[in-house]
Amino acid sequence: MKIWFQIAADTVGTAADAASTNPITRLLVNFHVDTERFVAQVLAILIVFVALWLFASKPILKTMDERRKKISDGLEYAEEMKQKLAEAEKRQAEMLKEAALEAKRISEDAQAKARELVDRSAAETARRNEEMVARTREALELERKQMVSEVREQVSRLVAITSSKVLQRELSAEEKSRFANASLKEIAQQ
Amino acid sequence: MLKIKDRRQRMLVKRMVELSLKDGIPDSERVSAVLSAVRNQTPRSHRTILRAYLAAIRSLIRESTLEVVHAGALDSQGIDSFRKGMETRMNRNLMLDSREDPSLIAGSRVTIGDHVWDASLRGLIARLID
Amino acid sequence: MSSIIETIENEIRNLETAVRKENIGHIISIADGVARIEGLSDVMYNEMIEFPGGIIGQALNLNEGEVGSVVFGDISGLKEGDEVKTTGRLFSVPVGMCLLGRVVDALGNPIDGKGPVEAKEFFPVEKIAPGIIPRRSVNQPVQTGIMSIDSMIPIGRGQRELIIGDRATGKTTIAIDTIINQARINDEGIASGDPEFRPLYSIYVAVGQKNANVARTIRTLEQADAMKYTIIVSAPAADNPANQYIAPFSGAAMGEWFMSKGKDALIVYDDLSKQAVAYRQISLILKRPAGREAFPGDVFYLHSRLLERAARLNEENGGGSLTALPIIETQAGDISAYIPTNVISITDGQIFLETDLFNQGIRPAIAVGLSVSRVGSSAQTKALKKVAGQIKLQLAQFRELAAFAQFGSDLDPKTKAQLDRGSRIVELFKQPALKPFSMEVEVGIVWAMQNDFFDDIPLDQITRAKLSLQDHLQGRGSSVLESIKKKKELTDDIATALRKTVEEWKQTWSND
Repeated sequence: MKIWFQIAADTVGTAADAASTNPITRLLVNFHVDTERFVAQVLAILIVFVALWLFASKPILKTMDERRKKISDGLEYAEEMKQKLAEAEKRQAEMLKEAALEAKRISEDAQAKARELVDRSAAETARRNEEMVARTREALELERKQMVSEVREQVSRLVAITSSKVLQRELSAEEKSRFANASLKEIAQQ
Repeated sequence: MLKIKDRRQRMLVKRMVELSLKDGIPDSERVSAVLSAVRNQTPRSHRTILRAYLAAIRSLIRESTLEVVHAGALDSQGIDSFRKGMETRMNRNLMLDSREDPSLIAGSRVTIGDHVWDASLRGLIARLID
Repeated sequence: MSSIIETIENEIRNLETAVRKENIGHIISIADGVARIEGLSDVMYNEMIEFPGGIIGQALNLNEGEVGSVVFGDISGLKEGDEVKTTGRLFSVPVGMCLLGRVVDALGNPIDGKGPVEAKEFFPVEKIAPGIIPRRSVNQPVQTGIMSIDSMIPIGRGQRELIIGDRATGKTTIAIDTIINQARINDEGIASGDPEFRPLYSIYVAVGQKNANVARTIRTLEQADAMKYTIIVSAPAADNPANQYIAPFSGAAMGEWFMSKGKDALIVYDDLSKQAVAYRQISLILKRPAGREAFPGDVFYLHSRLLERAARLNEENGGGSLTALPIIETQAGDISAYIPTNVISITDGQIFLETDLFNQGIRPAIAVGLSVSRVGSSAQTKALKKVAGQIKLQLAQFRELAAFAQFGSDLDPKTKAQLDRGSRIVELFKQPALKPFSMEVEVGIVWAMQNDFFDDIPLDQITRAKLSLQDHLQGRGSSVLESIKKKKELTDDIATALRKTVEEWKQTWSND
């Protein structure tokens, strides 16, 4: 180390002599820049620089990296969340749409059912009317049949009574005797 | 018909009925004889026995009577052969009971016991009404 | 008018022989609907006898020299000495489709004021039941519409299933519900035009009931539009005992006509206890020896020959069937009395109704433990068999464990689950009168129960949930019901569709 200082001092000395007429040398002399001290200062600065770089800048850089990473992570996360929010909103919109469609379907179903009900009840009313008409017709037909049957009965009776009276009067004693004897023969053959 | 619980009384009535018949038909003389015999004996439950005897004889008379109701005069030969024919058919002797009834209009109605043969016009017309 | 004259002229022309042979007798005594007649030597047992005034009787006692006959109809016009005639015919009643929708008495005479019955055929009321060879086994269901019966005590066409219980326990209601449900099924089947569909016609025989009850039943059937498939044979309490005795036989003759034509019929005898009492009265007046409880010795034969006429015939004999639902009223729940035990031993199972259950609000008040159907699941559709197979067992287990129900918190989870399921099934099977379910709806509801859809519904909400599910099935799930109805079984596809529908319903269900 001493050798290097010596070499540096020699170089600066040589240089000082050459620079006494040199403007730079004049500048250095004017500003009291001591060559030896300068080198030592430069060395000291270098040492400080190296020490800082080793012990300070690395952690700082590391910290800065970490911060940067955190920030970028945070940004990424925010981005992701934004995306998810967008998706959720999209899904919600879809669900709402579906629900609305479902509601519409239900309402259409209900309307169709209501229409069906109205149609059915109209058909039912028509059917009932028809039934009533048919029943009335049946009742009338029944009455007619009953009347015909009653009349038939009356006429039969009338015919029977008339016939018996007529026959009693009109048949001669001979005919009656013949019938009586014939009937006995018929009974005997039974 | 014989609704008597006592077996001996039942046998007595049965015997009384058997003795009252002549050719399978109840005979009035024999019936009188049976009645007087029973009167003399005066068995227990006399009234019950007589009632049962009456019911049995009534039923027998009904079964043995050929009742012919007719409208119009009947030929006596015809009715006699008719009676014989019915006796053969019923396989027993029959008493003839014949009478005229103008309400039959024409034809005849024959009854033996609970069998009835209706060959009258009145019956025909009645069936027509039915 | 000219047609009337022509008819009479034809009548005269067609009169056969002029001689008519008759066998006559005379009334010795007449009382309490029974006449003692002297004569009638040619009369046969059960022959129809003609009394004056067109009144009909039946020869039941053939004694030496005397015939005992029951008289159907008003005896007030008859007196000692009146002449009676044999008819040479067994007592017969009019039969045929013309009787549907009509109310007739025990002799087949109409009493509904709708005019005469234009019957072309007459069947004898007393007929020997089909033998062994013409029969075949029962495998077609009779859907009563009552969930507990259709799932646990299924009835088949051709079966005899007794409905037995005390008074006012809902016996007649079960029968009427069955008739109404069958009418609904008939309407649907006929409207669908399915050539394989076989309608089930109903005959309701009312024996010894109040006229008001019979009128109410008729009105109920008319309101449900079921009268057009029903014949009502009425022998109310005011009728003489002979009519009450013969009415079930008349109904059976009408049912046999359907069976002989290859059709299916259902006959309800409501009730046979009153017929037995009427028969006892007739027998005592005819001086027949009295046996246990003063019933005549052949009271078992009275019911056995009636119920044996219900059968399912094989294809060679037409393939028709007659299903019988006799009703017996017990006293104080005593099913070990004379007549109930007789009829239980004759029928192919019984539905036992208990007063206690009825009073607890379980209606229909069916005691599942005592009720049985000896035909069983062969009379169930495949779909119902699949879902309801375990229900009877679950209920039996529930009843076993019910005694421990009071220790609700001390039971292991499995027992608690069984108790919960059992009480839910009991609640599910409660059903109001005259509201039968269709088979498809029953399948849906029972399936939902068996697949745990009712497990988280509180007990007092089960009925409301059931009705809500029914509405949903009949509305949104109508296509599933249609498939079940058509296929009559629960295929995988149908089960999946049913699950989807029920899940849909469950999502919209709220316990509030």
